[in-house]
Amino acid sequence: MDDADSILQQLQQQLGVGSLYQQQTVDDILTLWVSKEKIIPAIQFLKTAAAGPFKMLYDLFGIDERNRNRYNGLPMADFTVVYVLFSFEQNCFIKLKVALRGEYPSIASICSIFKNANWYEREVYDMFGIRFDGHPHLTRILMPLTWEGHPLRKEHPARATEMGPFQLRDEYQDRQQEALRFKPEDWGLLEHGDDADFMFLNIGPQHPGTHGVLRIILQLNGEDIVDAVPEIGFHHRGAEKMAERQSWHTYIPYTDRVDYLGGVMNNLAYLQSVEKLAGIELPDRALVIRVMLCELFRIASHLVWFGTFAQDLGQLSPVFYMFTDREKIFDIVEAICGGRMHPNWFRIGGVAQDLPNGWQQLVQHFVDYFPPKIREYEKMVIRNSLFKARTKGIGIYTLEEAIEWGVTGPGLRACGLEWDWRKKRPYSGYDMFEFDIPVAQHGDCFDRALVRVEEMRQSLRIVKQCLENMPAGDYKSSHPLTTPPLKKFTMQDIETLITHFLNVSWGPVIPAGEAMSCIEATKGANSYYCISDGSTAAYRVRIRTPSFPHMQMVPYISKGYTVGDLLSILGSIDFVLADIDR
Amino acid sequence: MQALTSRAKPVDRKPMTFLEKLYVWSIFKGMMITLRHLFKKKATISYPEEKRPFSPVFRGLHILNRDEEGRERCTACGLCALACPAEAITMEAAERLPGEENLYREEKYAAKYEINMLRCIFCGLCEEACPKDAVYLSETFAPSNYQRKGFIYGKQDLLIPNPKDNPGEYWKAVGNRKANKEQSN
Repeated sequence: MDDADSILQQLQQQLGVGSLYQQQTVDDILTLWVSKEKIIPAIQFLKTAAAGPFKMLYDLFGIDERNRNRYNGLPMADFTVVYVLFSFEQNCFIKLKVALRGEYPSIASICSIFKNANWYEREVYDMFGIRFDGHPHLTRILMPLTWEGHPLRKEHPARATEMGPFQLRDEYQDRQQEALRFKPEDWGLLEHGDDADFMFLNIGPQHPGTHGVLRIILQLNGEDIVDAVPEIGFHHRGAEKMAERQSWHTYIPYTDRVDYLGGVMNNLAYLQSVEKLAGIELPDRALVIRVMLCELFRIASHLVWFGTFAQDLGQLSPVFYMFTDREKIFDIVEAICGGRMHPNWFRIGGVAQDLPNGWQQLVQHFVDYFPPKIREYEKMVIRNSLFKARTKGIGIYTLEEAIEWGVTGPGLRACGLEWDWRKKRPYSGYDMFEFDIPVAQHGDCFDRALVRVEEMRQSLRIVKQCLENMPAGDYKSSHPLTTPPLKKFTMQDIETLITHFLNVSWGPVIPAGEAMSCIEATKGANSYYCISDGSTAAYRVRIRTPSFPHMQMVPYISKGYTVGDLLSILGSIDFVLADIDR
Repeated sequence: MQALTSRAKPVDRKPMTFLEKLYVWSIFKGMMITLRHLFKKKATISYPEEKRPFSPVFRGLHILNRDEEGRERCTACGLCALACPAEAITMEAAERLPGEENLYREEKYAAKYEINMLRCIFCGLCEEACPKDAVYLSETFAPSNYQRKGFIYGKQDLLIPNPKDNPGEYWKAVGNRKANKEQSN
């Protein structure tokens, strides 16, 4: 905590004594309340002047505090805006909170300090109606432009059935149709250049190269991209809103669907923060089982990326071979979890069941089977000169740019920074495993591909270590908040049956507090910020997904390239639309 | 237009060899790989004539269980309905009348038990919630249907055949998982 103290002192010197209020959270991250006027100097200072500067805006989100009953002496707020910054030098997060009063408050925009604040602030505006003064283009980002209300405000209904039956009236339809009309200026695009008219081209929402429902509006000069505007939100399901109505336990299946290629990895990110709140320590066996499943899913996710990336670049066969191999992973996943893409298998305090008999043979078979395959694919795709010609030197960003835009995961490692959350801030027992962090130097599409291919090998190494060293013991913790409690007692004594009834019907009561997790998901850093006010459901869950900032960066790195190059850029950053839109 | 060179790091571009530059050679090599795969074992199966085996823990269609004497195990406590994240389960409880002891194991039973398969996400939380081992997910898919109401499964669709009247059907419905478990008990 020495680092945290020195930052606190530096900030206090900068902003004046008494302008900060420190909040204690269970995740040991320095959390400071800053007044609304001081937020710009505070962030400016942290980014540039502080010793071990906080160069990355990791997350920015809002909280509707109006229904919250436990302030515990915290500043009064109707709404809170939370800034999460990260310093690579100090390996340390900091959370700045700003209390806002009023029904529709406003706050100064930090877009001039952090480029990637742009989308985050738009999201807060969209979800809460908080205005950001000085924002260059403050419009809705996830919801349709004609949407009424701001979904994450507490008064907004969580279910369609609470809103009354839908009727399509003529004037409503006309308004919707009018909103769909494409006007370049609405998107911040110019129709005419100095010497030519631009051409506008829609890619998506239904286009195989966008890997999901994504629309990219391209402003073209000939075949060169002048500007690109991604339109997201087609896949928005309100995962954060659902967390507020589900119990802590029944929200787990929903997390599966956030990054649907990552499977159990989402469960892990969510449960990491819930278990921090509840104070649950996991038995070793549960930890190793979790790690093994996570790494299997990392390989599965990278295989999908590998295949579809090759397909985007014109190689049609690899995707079939790789999906076949992914199926082999799913066979293991199905034998262990019972589900395939949505395993829903981690539980508060452990995993759902113990490993089935004969799991060793299944995993062993895969561990033996996969290395030659990956060599074959590397030869087939990476060493292919057509592939090289289409990826080398395309979509370059430097390390500074990557940090500025909030890039994490393989995209960051492809710029030469050896940063893997599993190594740098170990969680779930990753420090017990031996593996390397693949790093490349140039930050182009080709290097991002190389990093991912090598990551599959490293993941396989981890799976192998899990296989060889699976500890014996319980697969669930004996902590009273473990949900559901071990069933073998449930059938026998009434005490556990009562706990079982309470934990399953109302759900476990997680102690009040706030905790943030951060894991190395398949695509980058994934975080769940859970706020409990001591109830059976979360007061607020914020999901920080890696794909969101990555997608925000696409226009910046694709300017000047051709449309064909855009598809290699899109393929190489490996996003999932469900992960962007949540 | 902004020049790219100002912010691009030089990339290690080994000049491609003459053969590589031709690209035709790469295309040829790629086609050879595809051709080789033509003669490999097929990865697919011809569904629906052939069906792939599911793992014993596969979460498919629900089954309402009976005990060894053919009595329904469900006591209509409602835990499965509460645990369901998708709110797919509805039930109505009724009290067992004298003379129905051979039908229902407990004094209270589910007079109506419905699962909406269009809402169900097959997460298996109902099975975990059940304190009576009365509901579990089997190794079959929910079949397709032409009408919405065909997806609302009532008791007659969900209940397992009676092991006393129809042991053959019962053991078939029990499937691998339960069969193994019960035989080991």
